[in-house]
Amino acid sequence: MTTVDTIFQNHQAQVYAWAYRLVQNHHDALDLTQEVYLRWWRACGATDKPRQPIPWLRRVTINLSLDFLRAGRRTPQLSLSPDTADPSETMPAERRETARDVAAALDTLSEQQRSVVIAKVYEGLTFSAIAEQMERSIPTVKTHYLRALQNLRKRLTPEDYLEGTHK
Amino acid sequence: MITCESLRNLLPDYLGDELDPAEQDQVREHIASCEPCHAEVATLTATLASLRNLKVPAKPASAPVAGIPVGWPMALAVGARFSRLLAYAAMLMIGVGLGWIARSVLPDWDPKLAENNLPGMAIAGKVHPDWIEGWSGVSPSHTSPSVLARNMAAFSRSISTRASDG
Repeated sequence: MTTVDTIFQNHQAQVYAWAYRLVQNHHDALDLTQEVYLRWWRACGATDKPRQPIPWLRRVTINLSLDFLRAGRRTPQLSLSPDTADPSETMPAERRETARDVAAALDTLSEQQRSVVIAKVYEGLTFSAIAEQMERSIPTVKTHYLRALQNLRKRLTPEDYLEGTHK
Repeated sequence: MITCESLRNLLPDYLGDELDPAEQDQVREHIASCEPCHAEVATLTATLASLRNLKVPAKPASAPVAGIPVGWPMALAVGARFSRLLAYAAMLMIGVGLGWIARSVLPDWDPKLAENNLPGMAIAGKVHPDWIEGWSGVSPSHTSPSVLARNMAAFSRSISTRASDG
């Protein structure tokens, strides 16, 4: 197995999780993970290879997932065996709706803001770790984080908070 | 007691859970007494809570490992993508083959004849004279007398050449 494969294999569960969090469907997330793998292969064969695998994989996975959702390609899947059962099939409709709202809100952010929010909120990384991965300064990462939350606020915050009625 | 300006500077760390307990207490103390800062922090905290609602079920987290052909040669991994391309190539080859057979079976093409008098049959600009035995049935009003005369001559030449060959 080549180094290219090894790097991907070390991160494929993370790639799947990024995709799943947005598309909320096992089969679609699996397809997207495969697509990211193919792109990773191509990128590693190009002259301008990704210097840092994790930020590259995160950015490509999120962009592909959002493209996928934007195109409305999501199709209901039926599982034939318990091994391939899709946990999203039993997901309440309310949670699916929340997932769509969050994905649509993330789609409005810049690529940098989106990467920082996902790394911070879903991966639990520190600002310094994100700064190192993304090759940015810590204050820049913090600024992206705060701006991202402020941009997401209008779409994701319950109305009573926005109207100032909630204490 | 920190100021509103200080709170703004601490906000990313507060929302990112990266403040030490003493600083957290300072922030909480300030927002308890400052309405605008309280509203800012409350709305951003609610936004974070909405983001955190998006979960990944525990079960499929290990599933993709078995499903992805990591380590396979690239040609195998992308084989499915090339199958459509191969189908197009096969259709093209069949088309070229049929065209070659048609040309060898049907000699003596007369493109001018087809263009001028039988546009409906001149799909590719080439029609064999044998196909158009009834060409004279086409109304002369569709073309000028000079063109008609030229085509009649061409047609006669074609017929006589074929008769002499036979």
